[in-house]
Amino acid sequence: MLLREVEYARPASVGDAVRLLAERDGARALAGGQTLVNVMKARAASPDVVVDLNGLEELKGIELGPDGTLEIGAMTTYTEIVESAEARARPILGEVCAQIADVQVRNRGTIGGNVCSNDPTNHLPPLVVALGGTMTIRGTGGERTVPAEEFFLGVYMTAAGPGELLTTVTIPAGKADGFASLPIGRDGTCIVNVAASLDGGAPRVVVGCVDAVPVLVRPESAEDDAVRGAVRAAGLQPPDDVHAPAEYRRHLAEVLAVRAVRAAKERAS
Amino acid sequence: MARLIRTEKEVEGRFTEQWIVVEEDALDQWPAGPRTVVGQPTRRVDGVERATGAAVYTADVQLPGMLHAAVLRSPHARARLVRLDLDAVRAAPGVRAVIGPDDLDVLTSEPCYEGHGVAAVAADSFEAARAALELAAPEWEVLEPLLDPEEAVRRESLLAEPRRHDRGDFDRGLAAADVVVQAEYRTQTLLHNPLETHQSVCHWEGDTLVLYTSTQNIWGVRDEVADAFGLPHDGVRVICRFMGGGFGAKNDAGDYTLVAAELARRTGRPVRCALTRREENVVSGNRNATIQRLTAAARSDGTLTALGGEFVSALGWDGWLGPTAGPMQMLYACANVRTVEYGAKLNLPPMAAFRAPGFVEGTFGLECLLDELAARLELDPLELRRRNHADSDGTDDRPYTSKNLMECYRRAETHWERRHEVRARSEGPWKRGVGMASQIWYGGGGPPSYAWIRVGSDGRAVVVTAMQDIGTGTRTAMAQIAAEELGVPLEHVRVEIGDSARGPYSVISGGSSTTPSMGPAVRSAAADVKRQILEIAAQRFHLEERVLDLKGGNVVSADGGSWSLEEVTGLLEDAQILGKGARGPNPTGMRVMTFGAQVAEVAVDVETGEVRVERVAAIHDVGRIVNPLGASSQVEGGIIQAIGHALSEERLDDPATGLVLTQTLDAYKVPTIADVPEIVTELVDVPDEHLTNLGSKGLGEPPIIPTAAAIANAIRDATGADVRSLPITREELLHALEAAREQERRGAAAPA
Ligand SMILES: Cc1cc2nc3c(=O)[nH]c(=O)nc-3n(C[C@H](O)[C@H](O)[C@H](O)COP(=O)(O)OP(=O)(O)OC[C@H]3O[C@@H](n4cnc5c(N)ncnc54)[C@H](O)[C@@H]3O)c2cc1C
Repeated sequence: MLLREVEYARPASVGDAVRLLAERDGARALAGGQTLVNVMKARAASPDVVVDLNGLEELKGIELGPDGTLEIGAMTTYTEIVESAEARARPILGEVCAQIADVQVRNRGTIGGNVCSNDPTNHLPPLVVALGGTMTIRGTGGERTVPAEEFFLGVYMTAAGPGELLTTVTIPAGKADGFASLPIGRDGTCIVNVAASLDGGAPRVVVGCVDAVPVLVRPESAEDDAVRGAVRAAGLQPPDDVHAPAEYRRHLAEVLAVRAVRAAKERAS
Repeated sequence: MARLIRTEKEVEGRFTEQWIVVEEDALDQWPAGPRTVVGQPTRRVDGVERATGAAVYTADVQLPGMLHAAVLRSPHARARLVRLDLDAVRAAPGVRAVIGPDDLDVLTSEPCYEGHGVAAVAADSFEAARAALELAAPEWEVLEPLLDPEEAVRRESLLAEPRRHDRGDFDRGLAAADVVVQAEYRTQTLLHNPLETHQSVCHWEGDTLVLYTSTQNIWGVRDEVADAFGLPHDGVRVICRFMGGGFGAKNDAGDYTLVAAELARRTGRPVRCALTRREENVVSGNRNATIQRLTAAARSDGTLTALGGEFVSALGWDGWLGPTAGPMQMLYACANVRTVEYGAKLNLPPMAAFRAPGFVEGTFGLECLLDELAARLELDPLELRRRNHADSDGTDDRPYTSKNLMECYRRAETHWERRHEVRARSEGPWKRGVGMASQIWYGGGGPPSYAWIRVGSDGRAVVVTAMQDIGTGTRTAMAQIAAEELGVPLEHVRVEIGDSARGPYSVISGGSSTTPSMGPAVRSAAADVKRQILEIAAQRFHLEERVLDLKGGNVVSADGGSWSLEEVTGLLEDAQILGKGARGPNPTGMRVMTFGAQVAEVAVDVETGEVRVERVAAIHDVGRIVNPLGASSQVEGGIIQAIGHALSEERLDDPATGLVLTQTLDAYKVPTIADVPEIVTELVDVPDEHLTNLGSKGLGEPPIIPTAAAIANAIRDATGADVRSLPITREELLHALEAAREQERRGAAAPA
């Protein structure tokens, strides 16, 4: 389907971008366009101006701090994360990015766009929550940071509100992480995905695709039964749609949570 | 010389007995095996054009002043129009013409399925056309739809008389058996999903309608549209040089063509009418769902004593009843067979032919049933199939023109032997297994079909015939056949196709009929050209024609003389050699069929129900292979499509409203390249000695037929789960696994 007519702006700085976004109600940031252009084609969103972030070098790149903290610019693509030497400090990042869709999507799609669109089937929202990430948001009023678990508010809604930009995703040091998912077909959308991290005490198990936002579960231990029990006790109410019934998604959440935690344990040892 | 004969004509398993005019086919077949050009792996002659985008598909046709049509389609499965404001549509910006239910047969005020055409508009742009339709503001009286096929059979809402086949004595056969298995199988509604959606561009040049369309059937569309507009048949010129896939759904003109033609007539301008992807997924046709209640009975040595089946096909509002019982009637030797087939008429979008219609569905049921029988008999599934090999057609005892299914089984053995090693590679939740299934299908083609070849003074040949290449590589195959017969390099042959005004009649590209129908005609035309070239050479060099031949681009004589072809054709100056060829008749009293066997290896995650197909070996017997490279592409394409059918694809309809829930490619999941397993293709490649001067049968359809059953049988081998319904969804597989475990527990608990 064809796009409706839409204005296009390519700001030269993050400041300009934020100003443009704040000035116009119908303005939307354009990152990789792998979600935005599709929803525009489907008429599910009709911005009157798209503010293209692709020229903003400030939003690109990955920095590895002396304490192992990773600062990932919002406009960094999945392929850049997969190929980055720095990102290997937290290996799960590249591993999960390599599983997203296909080569074309990975070359265009960005970490910022992935979390800001917060499509419940995306790979990265549960991952950044499990890893205890922090999101840096810039508006005309200045900058603030939000922990990843408070960033996701609803389907396609995040703490980066109208007139704001996510600039950086900060990931603390660590390595005992795991991820398990079941997509529709080998490179399709996830039916359920689970990210787990054992760094920093009790396991953080985060289930995606089962609610409007990633669901954080804290089992008492990393034992299979504890994990399965905690997911069951979370009382998930996943959607029932053309891809899978709710009951099956509930079952998958348990199976994949156990697998994600097992993978994290393997990496820890 | 032309001859009038009364014979049976077959397209996709539908037979009609009729008079046809045929021409003799006097050429002897080439000896078996690869030749200089035919039988050699050959890259597509139009591959570069296709890859660079230079090839012009209907979707690329842009004519000066062209308008764009949009169709208002019913949002209800069954309804009556109460109000429709076509005046508002007519007044909208950019609108040039509007037609409604009273203006064209394919438009209706009482739609009987979702997407049934109601009105259409032609406007300066597609966006303007769509915007205008929004002003039509239809009001509907929504009526209760009939959606359940079993209910339709009870109410006798059928599209055809129930079809019965009863041979031998089924009940006696049952009584004579040591083991009887019975099960119900189901197959789903499937969508064709060609890359190019259904579309046409229509344009009137005086009284002639010039019609660019994405079709499998240039001549059928010509006749259908000419009849609809009361024109002589050649008053419609149909053009289709490249087309982006059809799989059976593009055999007819379709409402979009008639809409474009009528709007073009009213506006005096070219009009494009192209289905959107969503329209494509609703109204362009589908493989109908089936319910199959099957019985197989055998003696303890595996000999089948009875086969029976009740088949219900959910055809939708229109269509025809495919031969779903065909495999049961024909695949195995069995004296006692009783089948009945019902074609339910429902308030759902009409079915269309889809790559081996009927046999794909019927083979799934039959070949799964056979494995269940093998398990009960404790017989090897491959051995069971061998023991029931049919030496002639079970429906009427006719001999086959050729049948090498036993050879397919022999070659399947090495793949089948892998099962021990495959099973042993199971680890953790991943269980591995191997399954197989056999294939039978038509694919012999038939007359009429014609080709012309012209050669000018430069010695280059042009094959002219108004056929279509639907993506199967027919252009390449025809170039190979002409080059082989003429003894010239492939590059010296051009193939001009795709225009009913510029070439003779060619068969529909359906029912795996193109190569077996067109190939012999092209070879005859080339032989005619060759004869004329040798006549000229004989006169020029004072030799007898019978000592001359065309080889490697030269005219050669038995005594060692050799002249380049150009030297001979150079004598022509502006004269041309015109050759003409026709497809001869099929042998009478014999049955032409294709055969094959496939072996699938799968891995099943028993915790999530995920199935990965890891390897498929496909062995098919379709007579002489013209292009081994093109043939393996056909096999791969068929298997990949079948993997979608087996595991992920399903058109879902809302059970209350009858509306299609899977209108996008996100909701309707076709496999991607990441889902494609290792595919091993083996072709028996023995010419059918009774079939034409070529000995080739078609290969478009055979490879898709046995795959789903082979996968289901492999899943059973891996896990013990009985999967009897397509697609094999993960959640249903988990239920089947649970049922299998339950049965095992009960079996273990039962006293020995
Ligand atoms: C065929 C296909 C398959 C896919 N499969 C998967 C999959 O399996 N897993 C997966 O995770 N994803 C998948 N995606 C989605 C893909 O990963 C997208 O890239 C991602 O969801 C959005 O990233 P983007 O950079 O393309 O953002 P865009 O589409 O450009 O933007 C998405 C939204 O985020 C907003 N936005 C973008 N950047 C910022 C920012 N810095 N600050 C504030 N707002 C911002 C935009 O305004 C827009 O609303 C798939 C996409 C396609 C086309």
